[in-house]
Amino acid sequence: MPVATGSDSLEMNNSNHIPTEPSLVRREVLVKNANGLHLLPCSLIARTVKEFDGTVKLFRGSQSANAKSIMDVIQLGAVCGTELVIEVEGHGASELMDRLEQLFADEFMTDR
Amino acid sequence: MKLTDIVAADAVITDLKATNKEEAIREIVNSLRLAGKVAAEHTDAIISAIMKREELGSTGIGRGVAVPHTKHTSVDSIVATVALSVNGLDFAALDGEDVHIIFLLISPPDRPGEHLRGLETITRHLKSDDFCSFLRQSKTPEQVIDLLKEGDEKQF
Repeated sequence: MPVATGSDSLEMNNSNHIPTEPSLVRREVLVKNANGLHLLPCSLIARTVKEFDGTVKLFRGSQSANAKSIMDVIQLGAVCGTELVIEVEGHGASELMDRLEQLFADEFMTDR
Repeated sequence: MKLTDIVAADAVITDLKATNKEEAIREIVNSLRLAGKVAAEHTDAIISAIMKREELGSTGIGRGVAVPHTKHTSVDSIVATVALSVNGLDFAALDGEDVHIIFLLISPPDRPGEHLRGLETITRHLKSDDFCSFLRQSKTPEQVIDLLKEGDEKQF
């Protein structure tokens, strides 16, 4: 079975040859906003993933959080400079991942 | 950080009279004032700041819990307390449930790490159904503080 090389992408296809949208997407993000993942960013994340019919997890090292739970995400204690891994699984995973990545890139809009 | 380190025992309320969010925040901040945790001259400014923060997005975090908060220069370490509403309040929480447990938090500005640890400490035990249930059943501030002590000493 050929293995994809030369790519940093962690996106995986659930089919070997048919180019379908990946159902499991994993990306690294950096917490850039000065106040870290306090309640407002956690709430924005939870609201963004609320309607998603799949699973969304945030990892800080070996600690994981269900992104649909504000309390879970707060427990990561992610201060400014923390590297996290987002894992989205389900239909429309890439699109949701883009939106989540944008939230981090925009420093959650209200928290620059 | 422990819950009992940051929660002002003298300001705990187990029977909020408030029937809406703003009344609740006013009642709780006034309780902190009476307990000597917030200066009288800053009370109105703190209430306004907390309400302004609510406009950015509800602090109702689910499971019947809300954590209204603000930063204010008049405090040099985290000031917090707990208030319980028997009938529940509409906080426009993410899960749509009424709020029965309110942890109000005032943090010093320019110490985001401390604020984050305060939120972590508060939410750590609220993830437990038992802890939330026991908290809601508390009838006196002493019962609330005893429960927070238990939470500090062991994992629920």
